[in-house]
Amino acid sequence: MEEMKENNSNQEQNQPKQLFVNGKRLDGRSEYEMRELKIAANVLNSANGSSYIHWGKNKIVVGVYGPKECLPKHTSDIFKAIIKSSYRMAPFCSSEGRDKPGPNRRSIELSKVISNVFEGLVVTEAFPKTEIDIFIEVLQSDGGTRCASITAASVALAHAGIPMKDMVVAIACGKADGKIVLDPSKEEDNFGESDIPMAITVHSKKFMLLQLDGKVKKEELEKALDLALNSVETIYNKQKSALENLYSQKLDQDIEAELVMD
Amino acid sequence: MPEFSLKNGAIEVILMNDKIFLPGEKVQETPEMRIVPSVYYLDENNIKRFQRLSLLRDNSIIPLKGPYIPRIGDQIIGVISEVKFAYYEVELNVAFSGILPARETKFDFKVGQIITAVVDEVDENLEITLGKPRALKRGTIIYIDPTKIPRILGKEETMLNLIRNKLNCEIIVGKNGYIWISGDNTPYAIEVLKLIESQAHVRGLTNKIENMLIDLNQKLTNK
Repeated sequence: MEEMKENNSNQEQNQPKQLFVNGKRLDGRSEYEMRELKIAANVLNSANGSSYIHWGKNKIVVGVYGPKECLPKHTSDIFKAIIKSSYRMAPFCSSEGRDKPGPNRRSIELSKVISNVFEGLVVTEAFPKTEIDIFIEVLQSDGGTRCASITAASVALAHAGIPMKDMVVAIACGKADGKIVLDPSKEEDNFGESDIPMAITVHSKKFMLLQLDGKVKKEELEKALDLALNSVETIYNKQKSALENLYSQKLDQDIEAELVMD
Repeated sequence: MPEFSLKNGAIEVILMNDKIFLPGEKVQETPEMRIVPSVYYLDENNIKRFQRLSLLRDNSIIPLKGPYIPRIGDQIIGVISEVKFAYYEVELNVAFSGILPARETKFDFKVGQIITAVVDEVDENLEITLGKPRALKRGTIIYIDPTKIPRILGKEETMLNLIRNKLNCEIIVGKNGYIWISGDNTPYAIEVLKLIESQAHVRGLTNKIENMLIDLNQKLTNK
């Protein structure tokens, strides 16, 4: 309990007095501006599909394996494949320092949430009695890792060639100093009034994930949904170019440079 | 769509009429277009949509990556993983190991032996029963993405015969992605096959590989 009190007092000390300075957010963005986003595919050698996302200060690697035999066998489904995702934060990913090893409450929740998103998207009926593993490693976190993870996992699954009904992108909206903001950073997430992560399919515009922390009014929620829907296209273009870049390499020099022979 | 550009005198590989599709995009079909059935699904409005990363080139749409989907009659390569009373289990690098009934062969296989066989039966769980087995002695196997196998074979196995002749190797290709290679130049053959896998989407690859193999052949004969 004493430790917790200390932690709380630490948090209070770190709390910024206001989240908006001169009409701009703490990191200089305007209300409806996203952080910088970069995605790369095919970053791991042994995985069937993989991707790396760099969203603001978030850095996440995702590896996809499968479909493979579902073990332990009692978890398998004779009609469809099971999606098993594992979200893990590296001990050095945030300023809070090393926690005890193994999954904690937060990582169990996020693994479950991410599995649910992809269970509705992957054509699981094509591979009965199997499992598809999604391993998510957060190397650096700065608010909004679940959204970044879902966006990256979608790229990794497509790269693995696993049949999917649609691509999915995820983005959060928050409420800071009474204003709805897009893509909240860590400070806005921790000290703002509300946090609303959403995952939306690209073509059918279905909501695969909608969580809400804190309190918002009905109009504010509607505004958040609109903001998220409007930013789908931007994120999807990044996903698409990540996958297209894999297959647009140059000919001639590259082909011979790769082949090292004596 | 990737841009068309000239960099260092080399033409960017994906040209304007090539296009990559992501899952969820609509399939815009023309009558002369050939589509591999596994790349699309029908959504609730009966519209064809892509379900795998695919490439449109020369009026045909092919998948770029993905797991092996077994079909009856495919020749595959596997490794015996377990010996049972009446059957063998064969590791095929798919979700489930294949089953080879012992009555199909008069020889005894051992664990770790490489075999080639034909898919006799596929059930609704994609579990495979094999037939007509043949042991492959010596040699080594490598794994290549199953969607790249047609590229390794080439038109009427031209690409494969090229490697066989120029490098003096025995090569058997399994549809499940395993390739068996035997001969003195195995390391070179492996490098060439891996190169084809990584550059499978490149136009005019057969010519490139041919030139490279001719050079390599000269080097090897001079040694």
